[in-house]
Amino acid sequence: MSQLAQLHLDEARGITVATVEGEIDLSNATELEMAISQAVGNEAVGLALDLARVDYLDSSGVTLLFNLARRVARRQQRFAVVVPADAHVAEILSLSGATDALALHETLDDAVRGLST
Amino acid sequence: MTVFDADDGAILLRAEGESRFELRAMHGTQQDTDAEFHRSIANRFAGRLAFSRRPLTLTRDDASGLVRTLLKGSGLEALLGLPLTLGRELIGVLYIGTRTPRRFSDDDAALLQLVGDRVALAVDRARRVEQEQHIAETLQRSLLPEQLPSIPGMQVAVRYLPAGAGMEVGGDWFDMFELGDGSVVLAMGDVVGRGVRAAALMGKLRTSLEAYAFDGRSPAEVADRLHALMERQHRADMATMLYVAIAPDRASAELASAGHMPLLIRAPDGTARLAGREPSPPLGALPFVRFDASRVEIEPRSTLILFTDGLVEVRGTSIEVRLEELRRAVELAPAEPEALCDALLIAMLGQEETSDDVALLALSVAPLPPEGFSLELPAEPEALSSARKALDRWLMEAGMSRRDAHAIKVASGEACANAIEHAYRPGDAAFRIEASRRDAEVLITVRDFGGWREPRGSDRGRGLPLMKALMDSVRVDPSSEGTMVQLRRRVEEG
Repeated sequence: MSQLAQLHLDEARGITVATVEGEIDLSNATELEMAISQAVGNEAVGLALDLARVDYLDSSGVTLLFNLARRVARRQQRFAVVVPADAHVAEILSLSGATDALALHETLDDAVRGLST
Repeated sequence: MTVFDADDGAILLRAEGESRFELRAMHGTQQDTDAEFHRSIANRFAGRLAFSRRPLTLTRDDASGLVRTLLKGSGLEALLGLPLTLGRELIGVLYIGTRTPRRFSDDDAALLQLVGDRVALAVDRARRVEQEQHIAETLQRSLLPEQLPSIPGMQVAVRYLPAGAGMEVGGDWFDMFELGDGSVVLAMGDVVGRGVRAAALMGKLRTSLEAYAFDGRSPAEVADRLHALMERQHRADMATMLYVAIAPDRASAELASAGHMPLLIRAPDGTARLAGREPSPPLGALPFVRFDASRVEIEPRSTLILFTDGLVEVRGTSIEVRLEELRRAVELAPAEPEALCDALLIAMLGQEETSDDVALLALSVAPLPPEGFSLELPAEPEALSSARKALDRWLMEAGMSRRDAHAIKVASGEACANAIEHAYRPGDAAFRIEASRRDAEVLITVRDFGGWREPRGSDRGRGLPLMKALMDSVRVDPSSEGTMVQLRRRVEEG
């Protein structure tokens, strides 16, 4: 993984939790997408992607989110994204039309609860 | 000599591609037989030997003219000589002489030929050593950075002088890179030892240092880890290192030194001081060492100077005296890094060839001009983060709000990403980003030198709408020379 971003993987209530810290751009979006999608096991109920600690995300990051949503849906799994409303990333997602298309949550707890019910 | 019952003998060699013979060894009962005589004899002999490619004899009675005079002057009566050859190349001549009249036999000639063959082999081996030196030098060069990063507000100059003729290359190295958080690392080191081995270890240390640094390690932790690496894999070796991490705000630096020369800091008023004067021991020198780091303040427009001991070490002069000479030379030198390096090399080394490698790096740190900056970067995705960091710093220094700064960063990043994706030739293509501010408006211009491509597929189409949403105006001007994207945003007065 490039030094721009770090990926931490965890599991909670049958849900794969992927936390990204750092910056997402053209240089690392594709490898990040691969790493996250490979981490979601077949038995997982869904994927919660925590972007609360992402300081920078551009359109390749938005693409990453749409691609992940597509991959997860194809496997009958659910997908939720964590972005605090006041984060800069939230503005980019809203300007890119991702807010309506993706299930966004304020906190990781909300996201996990939303996925497991 | 006794085997041949001869009084005098000499070996003369010539360097590859040269015609002159150099006396490499001589032996004789008459020690004052001078080299000039041997050289003259050799040159007389060489032509004939090169042609005959077999042993030849020469006696004073048979000789005529100059050769006769030469033999007479040296008191020699008879000579037996043979060509030294490697393959088809004549590399030198070998001969023996007697002070009493003598006819050398075929057996003498055959025996001398055996000696000659051994000499030729020894010469061959010596040449291979020279080749190895050449390999070490090439290896060392290839292990040093080809290009240092271009960072706005920083100007860097570097000099690397290999040791003078006849010396094996040493293990001096340097590096410079920008970390993810915007801090800039300068590193310099010297592996104790010479040749291919030192060059290889130098490459390993440089690579490992970069890996540890990008892993988020502090200067002291980087030194600790490199030391541990040496302890594990290179117990017999030792290396010095100076690691300087300039903070993202450029106002301070953290240094860790493992037995290396101190850091010189030239303040904007021209005064110079040494920092990092109490280094920890060199890497690999002692077991159970922990490395300390110290912090230094850097005034804007300061210059940092890193160097290896080759710049200051002179036999017979104390290092303290030389460091003081260097410090004063820095105060007298121009501030511009290239000119500074040249001035320091002249002041400290003069015209003489050095017996040790010399590495010298000067970096000036200046704030970004508030009116704007311009930066040319390679058309690679990795360059996006460099462009972002420069922009971020400039926007912060200009007192922009976080919201404005973020919008400008993302929009510019999209324009840069387009420039990178449109680069017509991967590898050597570049793009340029310029940022300027007039009153309450920020203008970002991104130029590439490839052809504009309409975004393909639904995914890549996201960049342009995002730029438009974040900025007040977006203008794309494609032309045959490349594409120019201009982004404007009115910012809050700050």
